[in-house]
Amino acid sequence: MDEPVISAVALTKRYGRTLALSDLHLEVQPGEIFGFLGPNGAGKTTTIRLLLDLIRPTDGSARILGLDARADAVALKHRIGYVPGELRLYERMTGGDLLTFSMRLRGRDDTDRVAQLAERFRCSLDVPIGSLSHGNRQKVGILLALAHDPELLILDEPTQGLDPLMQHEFATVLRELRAQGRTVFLSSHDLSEVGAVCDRVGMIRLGRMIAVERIEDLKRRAARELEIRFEAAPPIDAFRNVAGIRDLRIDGTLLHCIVTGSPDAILRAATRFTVASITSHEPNLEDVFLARYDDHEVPHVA
Amino acid sequence: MLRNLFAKTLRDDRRSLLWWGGITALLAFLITLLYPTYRDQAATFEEFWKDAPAIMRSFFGEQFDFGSPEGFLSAEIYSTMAPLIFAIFAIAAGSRAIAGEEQDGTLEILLAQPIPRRRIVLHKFAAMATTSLLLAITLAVALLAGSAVVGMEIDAARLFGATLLTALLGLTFGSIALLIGSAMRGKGRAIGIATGLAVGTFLLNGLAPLVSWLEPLRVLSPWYWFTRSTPLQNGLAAADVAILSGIVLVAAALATVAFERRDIAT
Repeated sequence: MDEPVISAVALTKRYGRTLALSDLHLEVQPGEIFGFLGPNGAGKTTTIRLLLDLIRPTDGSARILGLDARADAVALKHRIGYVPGELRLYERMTGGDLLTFSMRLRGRDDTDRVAQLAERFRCSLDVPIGSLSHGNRQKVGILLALAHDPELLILDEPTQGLDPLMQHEFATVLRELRAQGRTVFLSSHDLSEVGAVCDRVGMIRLGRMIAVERIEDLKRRAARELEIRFEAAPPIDAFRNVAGIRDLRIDGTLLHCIVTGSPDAILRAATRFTVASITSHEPNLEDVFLARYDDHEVPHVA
Repeated sequence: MLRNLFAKTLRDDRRSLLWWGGITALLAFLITLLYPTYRDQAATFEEFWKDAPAIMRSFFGEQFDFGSPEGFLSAEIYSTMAPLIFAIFAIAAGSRAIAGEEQDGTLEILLAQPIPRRRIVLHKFAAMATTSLLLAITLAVALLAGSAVVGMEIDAARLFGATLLTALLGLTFGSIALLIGSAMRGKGRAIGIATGLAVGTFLLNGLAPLVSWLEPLRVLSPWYWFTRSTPLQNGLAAADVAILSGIVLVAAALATVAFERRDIAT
């Protein structure tokens, strides 16, 4: 296997007596979209800012694209695109000027690429950033991260303030970048957002990485609510031995159950009767994720 | 204007520099117009100043020859107004450079660019020095223009020298603000400490001649090196320039080191 794009070893950050990040191990492989998931304050932003050399680890170290995150920080910034969690841009500059400034600092000319991206995101680049809405500022931040066609994108909740259409467009862009072999490290507090694009997700809580899972595996284990309405009330016994379901109950003509994994068995059983309608609720991956780890003692952080 | 961080910083500061330059030039010009009045009543002013409390004379100058252009400009421009303007101007720039950007949150985006931290400090420092110099040239030109209008004869080279030394005095406090802001977070803290030092060392320089135990500490005050050789009358003294420049350069160098080492606040 290729060398990981990000490899963090025992990364720890302490602020006085507060432990913001504890002994974090992390490997992100080339060409994958890695979701970094956790509630606010769990240590996502701390991890990302350590990777970018904005803050320095109390202990541990990280290598990115084969270089040392700390010693080779400047060289790495040529190859990384970053959207900060709390994006603040120069409000008196226009988006276009800011992007030009970045190109000059990087010694590149990405004018065409910027123009394409601006059109895709419908991003206005000729007015002062201070006069833009929150969502439009976010777009400028995204362009700033994507403009130099980086090998690695580090994104801290990048879709904040974007309307659903643009969030969708952004997900499409990420998939295209993956297809081109780029790597994405995407933090979010919302698994459903991450689940749509990521290959793997890591869950961080209270400064510790508590699990890393493939999204496919999560989905396979996911439980979804299923409601089937019949023309006539079916006998509950006909469903008692169906594999992969629980919480079975029938109220008149409405059958309700929770399905884990494939709904094939329950659907086969149901079609022996006349089905009027089926309602399925998307599985809440977060519940699946947590269901597995809630039993484990969540480590205490001083 | 976006070629590098130095150029961008100048571009960001262009409007503010225009205001500072305009108002400074206007004030300076108007003050020179008062020269004929002062000259004609020089004896009265000198009498008045001789009777002023010793402490005031110690702070602002032992004696002023109001009748001469040099004496007039020393009293009205270089004793308080110009140092104040340059110190405030430079402290504002120095505190804004790193701590201000950090507080605004824009440092995060700047540091996402491939630019070494020490270069950020150096470019910001160079921009502060450049705008201070431009302000100095503006002030000197306005004073020369005013002098021409009222027929005040003054040596242009000495005028530029005195103005340059004033800008250098301002830059010592500006560099200290830059150093504080590079070493720790908080624009307010950088402004506060640098201003405190400016006022404190001003008091030290003024009180030292009157308080025996302060006398040996007087050399620690940038104001001492600023006032010592009265460049308007005598021309710039190399030692004064060297010592003030030394403070400025050491503070800037320490700022690069301090900024290299520290965490950036969100």
